[in-house]
Amino acid sequence: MAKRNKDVALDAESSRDGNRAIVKFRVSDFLMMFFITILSLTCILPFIHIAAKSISSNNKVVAKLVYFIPKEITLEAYRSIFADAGLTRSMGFSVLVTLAFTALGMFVCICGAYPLSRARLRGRKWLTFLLMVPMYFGAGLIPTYLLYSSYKMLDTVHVLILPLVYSAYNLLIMRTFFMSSIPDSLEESAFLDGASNIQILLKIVLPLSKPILATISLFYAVGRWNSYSDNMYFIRSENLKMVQYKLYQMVASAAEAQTASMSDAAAVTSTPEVLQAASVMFITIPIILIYPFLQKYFVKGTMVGAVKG
Amino acid sequence: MAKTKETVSQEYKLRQEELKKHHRKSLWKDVRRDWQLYLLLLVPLAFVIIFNYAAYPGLRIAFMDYKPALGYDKSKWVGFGTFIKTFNDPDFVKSLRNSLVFNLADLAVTFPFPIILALMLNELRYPKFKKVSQTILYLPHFLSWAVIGSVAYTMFKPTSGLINMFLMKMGWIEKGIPFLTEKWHWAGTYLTVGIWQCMGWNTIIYLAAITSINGELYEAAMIDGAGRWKRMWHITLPGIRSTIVTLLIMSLGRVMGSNFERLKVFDNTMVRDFQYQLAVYIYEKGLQSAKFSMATAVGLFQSAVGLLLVLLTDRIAKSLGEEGLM
Amino acid sequence: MKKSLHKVLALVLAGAMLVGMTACGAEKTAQPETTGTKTEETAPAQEATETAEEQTAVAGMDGWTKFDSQVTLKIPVYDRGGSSNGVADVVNNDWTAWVQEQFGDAWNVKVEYVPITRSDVLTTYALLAADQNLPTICAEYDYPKMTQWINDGYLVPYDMEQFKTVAPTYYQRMVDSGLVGMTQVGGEDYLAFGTRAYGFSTYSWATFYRLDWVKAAGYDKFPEKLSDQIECFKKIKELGLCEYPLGGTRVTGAGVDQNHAYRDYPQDEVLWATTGDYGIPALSTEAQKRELKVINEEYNLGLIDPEFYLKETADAQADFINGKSFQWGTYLSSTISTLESFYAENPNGEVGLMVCPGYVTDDAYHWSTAYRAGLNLGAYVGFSSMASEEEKLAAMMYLEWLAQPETLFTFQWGVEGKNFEYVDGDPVAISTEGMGHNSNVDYWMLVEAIKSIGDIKKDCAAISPQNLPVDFTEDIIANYNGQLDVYNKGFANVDCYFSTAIEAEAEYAPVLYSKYEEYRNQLTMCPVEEFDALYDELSQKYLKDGYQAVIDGRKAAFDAGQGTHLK
Repeated sequence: MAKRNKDVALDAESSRDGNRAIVKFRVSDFLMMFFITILSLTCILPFIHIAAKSISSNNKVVAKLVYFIPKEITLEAYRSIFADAGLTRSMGFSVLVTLAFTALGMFVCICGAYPLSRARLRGRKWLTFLLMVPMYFGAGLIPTYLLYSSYKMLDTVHVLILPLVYSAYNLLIMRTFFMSSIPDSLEESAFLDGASNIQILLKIVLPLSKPILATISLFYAVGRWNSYSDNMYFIRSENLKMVQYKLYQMVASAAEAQTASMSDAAAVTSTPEVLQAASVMFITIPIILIYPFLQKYFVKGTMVGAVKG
Repeated sequence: MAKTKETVSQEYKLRQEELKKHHRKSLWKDVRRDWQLYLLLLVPLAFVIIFNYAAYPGLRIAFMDYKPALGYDKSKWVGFGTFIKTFNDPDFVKSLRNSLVFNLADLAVTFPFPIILALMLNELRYPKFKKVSQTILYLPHFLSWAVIGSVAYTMFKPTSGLINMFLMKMGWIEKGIPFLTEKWHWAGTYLTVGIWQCMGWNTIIYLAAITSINGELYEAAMIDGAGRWKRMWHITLPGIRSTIVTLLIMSLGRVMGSNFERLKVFDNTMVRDFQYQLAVYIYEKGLQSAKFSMATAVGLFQSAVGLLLVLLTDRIAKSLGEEGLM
Repeated sequence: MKKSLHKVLALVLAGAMLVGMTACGAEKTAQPETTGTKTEETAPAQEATETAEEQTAVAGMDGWTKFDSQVTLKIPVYDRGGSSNGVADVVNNDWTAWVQEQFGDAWNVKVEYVPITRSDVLTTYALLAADQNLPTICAEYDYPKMTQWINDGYLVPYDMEQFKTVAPTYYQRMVDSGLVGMTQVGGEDYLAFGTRAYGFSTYSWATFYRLDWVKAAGYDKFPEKLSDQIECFKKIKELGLCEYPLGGTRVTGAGVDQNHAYRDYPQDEVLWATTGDYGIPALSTEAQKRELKVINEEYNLGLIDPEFYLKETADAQADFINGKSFQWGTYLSSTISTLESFYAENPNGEVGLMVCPGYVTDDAYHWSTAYRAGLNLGAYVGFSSMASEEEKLAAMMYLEWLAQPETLFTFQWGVEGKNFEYVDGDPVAISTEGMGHNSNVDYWMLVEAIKSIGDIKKDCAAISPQNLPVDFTEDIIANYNGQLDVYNKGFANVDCYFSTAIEAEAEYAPVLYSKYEEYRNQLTMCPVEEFDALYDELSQKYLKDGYQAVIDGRKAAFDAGQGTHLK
């Protein structure tokens, strides 16, 4: 740590960060970096724990002897994951569903966020209210199930995409962003040039909103990837199950194996803990990898020079 | 040019007044001018109506003794019976109290933290460090509560937890700290883990908002000789203020509902006093014995209170000159 | 509340652009599509009764006739998550294809399997019920679930005479297992039963212990009497072999702290009927007090881990492997990875299997080796209220076909040469490839709960863990014989079984589980001298939390002659 700080101090003068000017490296910098380093450590340790478990022998894992350093290293668990056609296929399916979901979600979100961000829009207040209510009022499982059933959507890929595509939360965030960061002046000048609302959206608003577009697509993608309860209730076919749900089932059946009641009296096969850990890694890593790709949009400023005055 | 808070809100007021004048004159003209916007709005409206509002008639089971096999039509109506019974249940009152206290506390500590973290990350001057730490900080969002729970127990158990073992080994404490087994300590641990789990994830919105602050503002401020803290205070924070307000109002609507999975993994009999929140109540007394009417009734109550709070805070925010939610 | 909802909806309707769409969407939810399917069903239903009548002539499969038009039969099967099982897709695999070919095509039945999420059975069935789409057969291992389904209208009574005729093999199995008297609930035949071999015993469950520690403490095997056992634990602790020999885990849910060992025998019948069950812990009874007092004593002697209430079963397993606890219990199977791990970690460790020594008493603790006997009963089977007569008939035929020895054998053992081979005339499993969870149990649970050759010694050998330094087969058999002794002497009683739903049970069980855990932990950890007073205090609370209502409900049912009697 100490050595690293020295290095940092040396090249502090020359380092540049976007549109900030060069200022000397100060104590506050050190403190912040120290603090963030500690926080990061706490965040990564659980992953190291799971990773270590996933490449250890089951004996050591069952005995709870593996914390952060793998013991009796073996890649057996990963081998069996990749050998399991069901799981890899399901991974491919999840990726496709997530992509389609995110694309459609962004479309719906933009369609809602842009009009609602325009203060001049008649009836904006009521429309916003209408779109906001579902964030707080859920209909509950049974009515929802019956609704999807009446749409003949149960056990189809549509039920994994369409119902969740509309998200009031994402819409309102995006709208707030449009409101606060797209100056009216910009729009007005385009209007005077004879551009229509949709042209303005496509040519001016969206190109200026890359950070929020990146953010919201991340929210959509991660949201879809991480949730499994709709899988649990609305999907029955094995080939429509997303990986996250398969993972859930794995863990749930393991928990059940341990608490098997007298009634179900028989040895219950369960997924070995090592395999569970490996599956967590297998399922989590792809989605985590999205972030670094989107990150560039959060780092660079896009507004510089866009509008003068 | 740099807009100060005053000029912004002045402009806003002017625009509002203009709008009002407009309103009286030419509603039709406006609608015609913005027909494309309404067309766009049709898309989310269609979704929300087809997939959300269309299911709302099902909420009537809160006023019924609903039996799935009988369906909506044949189940008996009980009016407010379920509500009255629930409100008179001392366990409900206890869980309601816990929910309110804990969710407000959660909001109070969880909400500001990502903002602070976002400001810090924004001030970091080494892009690599910044990128890597951001990526790591958001990792906990991808862990299920089951995993977080088991890791937390490994760390925080009173005698065999790693932290207590370490502290005892170093001779700093004699008896293990009951992080998870004494209700006040538990409250602290529960909230801290909550912050930890969502802090990195929640900074993303703020970082995105910060990115879009006009860079010239910083340049101008720097020419004026404003230091780091001043810039943070006068440019960055005001720049993300509307995002903060939006998020705050939205999250107030959730002060009644707790995450059941989170409560479940932190459950043990020593801390039931605090752990017993509405989500647990619904699970224990409703879902586990297939009382869907009861679960729906409590859910409806939660939603109504949440929505009321949102509307109320929205009103307050507007009276303070913010854009608000609606 | 409702008003504001209407307002919102009205608003939607007023919003000029979407009127058409909304109206359509809203109407759809308001009326689940039941009418359409119903009318379709009524016509063939009449035909079905006719065919059923025709069939009364000859009993069993020989009397069946092929359905004129195809009947869809929906059979539930647990979905436990596929990856570790040989059969990944539980509703569509070689086995389901085989059923269709062997049974379905022969009788013009389309057999459709309905996956039931194992971790959330109740909700899965509730959703299917709400959608008016229950499987033709509803099956579960838990009686309270069945009575709740009867109460909630999921199930309908069936015609016992018809059942006897259509499914004589299945019916005979029920007769042989002594279950025919139990089919009625509320005076009508609602239930059929899968059977369970050796139901009275718990031979498939075993508790393993550290034989090396017992020897070090001066015993040659695990002591029979409770007093000696406690002495043994104390010794082990004194010798420093283990800090908390009894370990301990959190207790919650049904079946915890069964107090049969502490009861007075012969049992008082009313007490037995009202508080002697498996489902809800019997806090407030004398027997429970005795049991908890022993646990309290053990805790205060330092035999139980003070963190026991934080431990899950996985922790107990790890503790056993790591030599941090004396014993560990599990269901038996040919591979027990915990034991494999144990021997890997403790090459010199010696493990024994606790054997029931027959009927033994210990007056010091008012204790005996009495235990809870089970019925020869596996799964409970009922027929959906949404099924047509024809579908119910097909369901009975399916049960009968499944109960045929050849069918059952193939389902349980798989393919000769691939899944099993004959050794000395008996089948021995060799590979689980292509077989579902636990030898396809989720398919044949409707007939039988445990795979059995019909000879206890061979059945014990089949579940004896393999690839270990020690062979436990003899101990498993001895344990069975010990339990048989207790049972024959009348100290292992079956629970009282009510032919009516006790509503208070469904209402209060979840709450009582959580309260019991709380009170039980307090009673475990309190100082010895405070135990009695605390027990009385918490008993009162527990009764008020709902246990009194449960007792009253059972008493009323028992007095009304709706409960079985002690034999």
